Amino acid sequence: MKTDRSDAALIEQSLARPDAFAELFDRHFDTVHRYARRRVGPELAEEIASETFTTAFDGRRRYDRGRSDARPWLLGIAANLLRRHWRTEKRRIAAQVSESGGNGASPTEPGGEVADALDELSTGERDVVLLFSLADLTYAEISEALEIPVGTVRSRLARARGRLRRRLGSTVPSPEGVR
Amino acid sequence: MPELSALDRAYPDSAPDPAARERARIALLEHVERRPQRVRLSRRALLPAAGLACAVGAVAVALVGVGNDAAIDARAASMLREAAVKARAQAPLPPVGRGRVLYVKSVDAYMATWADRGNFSVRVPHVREIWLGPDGGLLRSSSGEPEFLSERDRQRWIAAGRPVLREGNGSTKLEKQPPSDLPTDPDALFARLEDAARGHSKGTYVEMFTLVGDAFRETNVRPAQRAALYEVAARLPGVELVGQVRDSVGRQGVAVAMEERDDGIRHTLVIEPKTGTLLAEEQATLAKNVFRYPAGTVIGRSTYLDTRMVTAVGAQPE
Repeated sequence: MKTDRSDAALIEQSLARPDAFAELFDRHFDTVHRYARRRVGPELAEEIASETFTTAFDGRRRYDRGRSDARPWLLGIAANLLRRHWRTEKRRIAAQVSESGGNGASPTEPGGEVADALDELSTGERDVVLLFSLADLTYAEISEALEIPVGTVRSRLARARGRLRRRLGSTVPSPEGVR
Repeated sequence: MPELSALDRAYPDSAPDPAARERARIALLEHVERRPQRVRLSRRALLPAAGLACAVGAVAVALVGVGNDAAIDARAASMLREAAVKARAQAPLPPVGRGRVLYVKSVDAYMATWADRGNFSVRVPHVREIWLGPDGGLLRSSSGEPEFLSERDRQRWIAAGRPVLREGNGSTKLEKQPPSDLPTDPDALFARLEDAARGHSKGTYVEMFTLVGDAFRETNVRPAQRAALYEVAARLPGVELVGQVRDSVGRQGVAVAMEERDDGIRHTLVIEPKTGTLLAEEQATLAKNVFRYPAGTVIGRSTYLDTRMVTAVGAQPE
């Protein structure tokens, strides 16, 4: 049964009726799956998204029920699970950028440049910049997702973007319609 | 922002896959229903350990051994209809509003299983207080000393390095809750709950019994709604009359139960016969159960001690 209850209320309900958690899945699977799909491709994304929800279910008692929207929490779990697949992700990005550049669909970065630039970031910086750029989370939401202060989000994001800009400076095209 | 533009191109989007979604949903439901991770079978909070021991003796023993024939169903239905009449005659609490906050105090103990560290189970007792006001509410919970469900569980806990089990105290702000919109007409309520429960893996009627219990807990259901809930329970195939019992604080009540046979759990509601209020509820194992405990092992229990209006969120009853 669909309800208009907040995510927090659903999670609270799922403590008594575990199957209520399925509604949380219905609300957020697409967002989580899309984020994972962009990062590691469809096959691994299914595994990551599925594990995100089973992990969330197991840890739902720890959810801060003062937070009505569970999307940052779920994306934080997914980000955590994705960390162990960084090598796969890096290989995929390198191939993707080369492919994209090869077909003329967009201006090209030298193959692997983006992947190498991301590889030089710390894991924490990479998590922040990818949640910001791919999942469209705000600073506050990233703070919730990764359980770090908003100030830390700001500093990591600024650092990550600065390093990416410097690293890719000679290869990335000028911005056009991109935030 | 060229660096963000570069990331956008490096991580192209692709079409969603409905089949992946369906597979993941099935995996989640299987996980929810079957995997004995650190599951709390229901919420609620409870008592000091002495009260818990008392409850096991007073309620659990009294509830075992009831049959499942049609005659008992008829008696259960009769008792529930009487409870409906009594409930309908009660004066309602005033609605939640300025200076009027619903306060419910309960004690409970539910099974929690540590699957990742030794695979053992305990009952964690809590005292639970909840305030529901016009602009939001508060849940305050304090936990007592957990009890192992069996000696096997205690040995596994020791082998796991004796991890700390006590949960401590805490409070959580709650969002504003709308007043219950359950129909007061039993037919309409039956249809609504049946619609909500249809297709549930536990079975429609078992799930409806669960929904009836949900509607009573920490809610300000009006007497007419309470009566309709009892009327619905009276119509559910599988509801059994347990008979006279005492709850964990010694109050006498009449109990009805429903068996969830797949998991091997009996759900019991204890009703105060003169007012139709819910005194307590309990889940205990049947002879064959997924937890592999002896029949009658209590895996969850709540006792509702006090329900009234107070003047503010966090205020104690006078």
